[in-house]
Amino acid sequence: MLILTRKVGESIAIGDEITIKVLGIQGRQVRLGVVAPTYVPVHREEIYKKIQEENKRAGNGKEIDFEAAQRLLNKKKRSGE
Amino acid sequence: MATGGKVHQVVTPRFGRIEFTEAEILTATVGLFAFEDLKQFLLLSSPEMRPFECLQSIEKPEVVFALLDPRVFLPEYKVEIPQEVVEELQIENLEKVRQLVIVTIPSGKADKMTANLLAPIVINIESRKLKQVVLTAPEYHTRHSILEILEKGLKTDTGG
Repeated sequence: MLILTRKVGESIAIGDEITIKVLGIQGRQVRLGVVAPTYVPVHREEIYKKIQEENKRAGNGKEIDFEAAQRLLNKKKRSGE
Repeated sequence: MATGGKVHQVVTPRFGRIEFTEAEILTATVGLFAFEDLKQFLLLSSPEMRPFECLQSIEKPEVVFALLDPRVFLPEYKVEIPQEVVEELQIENLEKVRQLVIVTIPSGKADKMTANLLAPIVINIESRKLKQVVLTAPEYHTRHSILEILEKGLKTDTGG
């Protein structure tokens, strides 16, 4: 891992298109500003991982029981009306 | 079957053989999370699965997502489409945009079905482009119980 020390207001450049700037530090929190092209998704890592994990659970849809899901949905909707 | 040239086909474990034309293909500008390599999809709907729909991968036929219009169970759910996504999907008319959420329906436990309200699928029907968009609203996560929302409304817990 490359380790760099930066002050508030300083940046690091990753290639030509990505810049990460330290905007501020407050206690144990660091605010970062990221400039990147739209085709480079930028997310908090834990959120990224949760979405990946959920997509993997959801994407294996060959055994989805739509009939049961429909029935539950309709029953619940009717009882809520 | 829509018009649009040559008829292609894909054989899927879930639906068997599906025929489609190029005009029906939806293209992911960036692949879905964990499925970044898959760019071409079909949006399938039928009376047998309504109100659910399916996002079927063309490139990897075993990959298929159940989708649901979130208004079915949460009328107030609203996606603020970020400007960069408007540009990426070439959105000109919001009425031609569909916002659907991925639903996980565990095998044999449909009562445990959950919706990913944090990262909905936004589809521009006109440009045929889609993207999984990550919202910043703190009340949404990846595993909301649909039946619980129908019963008690959206809980602002931090589960998922």
